[in-house]
Amino acid sequence: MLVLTRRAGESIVIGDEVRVVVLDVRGDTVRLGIDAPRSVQVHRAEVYAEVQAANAAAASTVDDLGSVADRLQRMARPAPARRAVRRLRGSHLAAGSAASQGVGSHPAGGPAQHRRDRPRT
Amino acid sequence: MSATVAAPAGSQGERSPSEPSGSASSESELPEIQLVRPLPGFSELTRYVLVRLGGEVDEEPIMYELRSVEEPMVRFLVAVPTVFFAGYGFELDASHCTELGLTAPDEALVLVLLTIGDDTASTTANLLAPVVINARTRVAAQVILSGSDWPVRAAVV
Repeated sequence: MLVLTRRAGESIVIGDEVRVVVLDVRGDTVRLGIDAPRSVQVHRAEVYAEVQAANAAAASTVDDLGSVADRLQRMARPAPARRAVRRLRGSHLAAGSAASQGVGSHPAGGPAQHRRDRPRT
Repeated sequence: MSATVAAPAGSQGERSPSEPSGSASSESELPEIQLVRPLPGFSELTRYVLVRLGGEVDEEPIMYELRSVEEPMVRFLVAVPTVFFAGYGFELDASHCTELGLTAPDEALVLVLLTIGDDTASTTANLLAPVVINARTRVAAQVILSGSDWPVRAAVV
């Protein structure tokens, strides 16, 4: 691993298209700014690791996924589908009809919880 | 148990996931999805097929098998998230819209990866990182909804 020491305001360049700048340092917290092309994904390492682990766990060794799907449907009693993408961000893109979808707030709490709303009629 | 192929009208195929993956003629009839970048943890795999599984709600399929073309042993159970999580939704960043060629929200098919538990009742869905598919071009990506509170392991039942 390459180790560099930087002060607030100083930067690091990675390859031709990625730049990391130390915005400020307060106590034990460092605020970083990252300039990267849209094609390069930037994530907190622990979040990326969590998604990697979840994908690995999701990779199925079950032969008969259809039966699992049937059982799941019986147990969970699914409601009709709705559009999950509420809006596309970006001024040049058409906005979704946010009003008809309603504004759903994100659930509070950690991975152990999720909020399930009653379906609107 | 039967699995119906999510294929365009005119191409038929009833196949079960346990069929050998080398059946070339029916394999070529499955519409292919192209990931713009691999799923985290499954690098180098970008071509997948979606195989419709059993159930429907209001005549719409709600669960699929997402299977790698390059590595058929790599398979995922995926579901339409809003049928199990009615309040689920998010805004898509401009960078993702661009890479997926999306110009309107209803062009996107959103599916979430399920982790099947030791018993079906403990199955969870990854709401933090849905797979977003351009329904028209079939270009797709797993999008990590950074900054949201959606759980990576949400109980389905």
